[in-house]
Amino acid sequence: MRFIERLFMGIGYHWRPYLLTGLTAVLFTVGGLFCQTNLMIENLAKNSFTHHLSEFNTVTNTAHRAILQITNAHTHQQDRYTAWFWLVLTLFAAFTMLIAWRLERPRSQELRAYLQAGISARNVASQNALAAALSFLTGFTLTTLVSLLHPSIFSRLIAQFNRHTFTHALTSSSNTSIPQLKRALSHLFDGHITDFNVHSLIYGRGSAEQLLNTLGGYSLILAFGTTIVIIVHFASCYRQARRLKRSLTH
Amino acid sequence: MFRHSTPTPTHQLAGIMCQPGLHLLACHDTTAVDAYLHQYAGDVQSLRPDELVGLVTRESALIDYLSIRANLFLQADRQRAPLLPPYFTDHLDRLDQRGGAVSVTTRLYTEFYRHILDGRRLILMADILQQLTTPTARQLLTDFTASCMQTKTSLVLLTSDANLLRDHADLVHLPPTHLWTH
Repeated sequence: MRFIERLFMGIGYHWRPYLLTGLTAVLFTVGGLFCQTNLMIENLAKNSFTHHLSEFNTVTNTAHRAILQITNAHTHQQDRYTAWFWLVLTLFAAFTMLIAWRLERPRSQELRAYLQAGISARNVASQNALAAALSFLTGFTLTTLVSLLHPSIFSRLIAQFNRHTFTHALTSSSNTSIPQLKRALSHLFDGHITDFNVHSLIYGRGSAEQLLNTLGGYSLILAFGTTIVIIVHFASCYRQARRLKRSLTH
Repeated sequence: MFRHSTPTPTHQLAGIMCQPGLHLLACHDTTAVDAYLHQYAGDVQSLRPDELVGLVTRESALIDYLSIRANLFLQADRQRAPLLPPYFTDHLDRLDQRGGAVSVTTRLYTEFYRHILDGRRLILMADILQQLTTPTARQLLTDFTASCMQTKTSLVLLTSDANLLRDHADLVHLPPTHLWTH
């Protein structure tokens, strides 16, 4: 019996856990894209800020405090989005382990049958891991296709959220308002001709512009997601198969 | 009535493997059958490659979502199909049934012939025949014995069925005495 045939028939038989894997993949992809896009916007904004600053030769004390405040806000936001991404990744791994654990009982008889038929534990574990990986890829691909249909809509929503949270991070830490910051930084522009104004210095872009016109982090999400699903399902099935094999002969 | 028992399961099975065909291993009850089956399987598999030994236990070893045809040829080459008995070749529709929805007879035929097609030299089987009617059990043993002789395979049926042991007294072995604690 060919491996591929067994693979697809197994997915059809255990459709519930594999459907759950697909749905978890959708949520993980949405969460991952959100965090990664925000992180990319933040990185671009910080780089743009540093680049714009390099065009000024002298910095006053007032401006120096404002610059420090903006740099801290960027760092704070980068740390926050990185932490959110790891949280999403941990939750995804935990759900994947839960699904793999719940799959053990209904798979027990089938696994014993495969072992008695002479199929190796590694072969059966590979079949299960690949089935789970296919379910993940289906969920990931569907989410990716939807996000690529109207990338500007999703990226604009995320950019708005990003600007809002950055403004909040910028003003909440020192109780300084944006107009106060702009006033402090406007002295830098005295006697300088630049292709940006004080607003684009703070935000890295104009009020109607976006730093990123698409979502980011697809390859990272695909790599992390596929690796987690394959490792968790393979390890769970292989461990169960080894245990069953021992019980068959002892 | 019984042949002399040999020191260990491995020695005993090594002797049995030199004589293809059906062998009965007498056990006093079904608990002993299960215990001996695992004892023998473990003992022989620790010394010989898994590929040589096949098990047919009390629990079904068919994959529910695969057809009987797929279950039979999980590992085997399709070119060995002529080894299948009339039970399958005269009723081809049986091959398309799902593994999870078959009778005990079909289950036993499938599991046994899966091992035959896979080229196992020794097949250890628990006494599930009690669940079958006498004519069915007799036909099954006839088919199994013929296939064993054709492929030079030894089938060891572990059983506590007094009637079966009496009917095949010349094929009966006893487990080594040190295992009698089961």
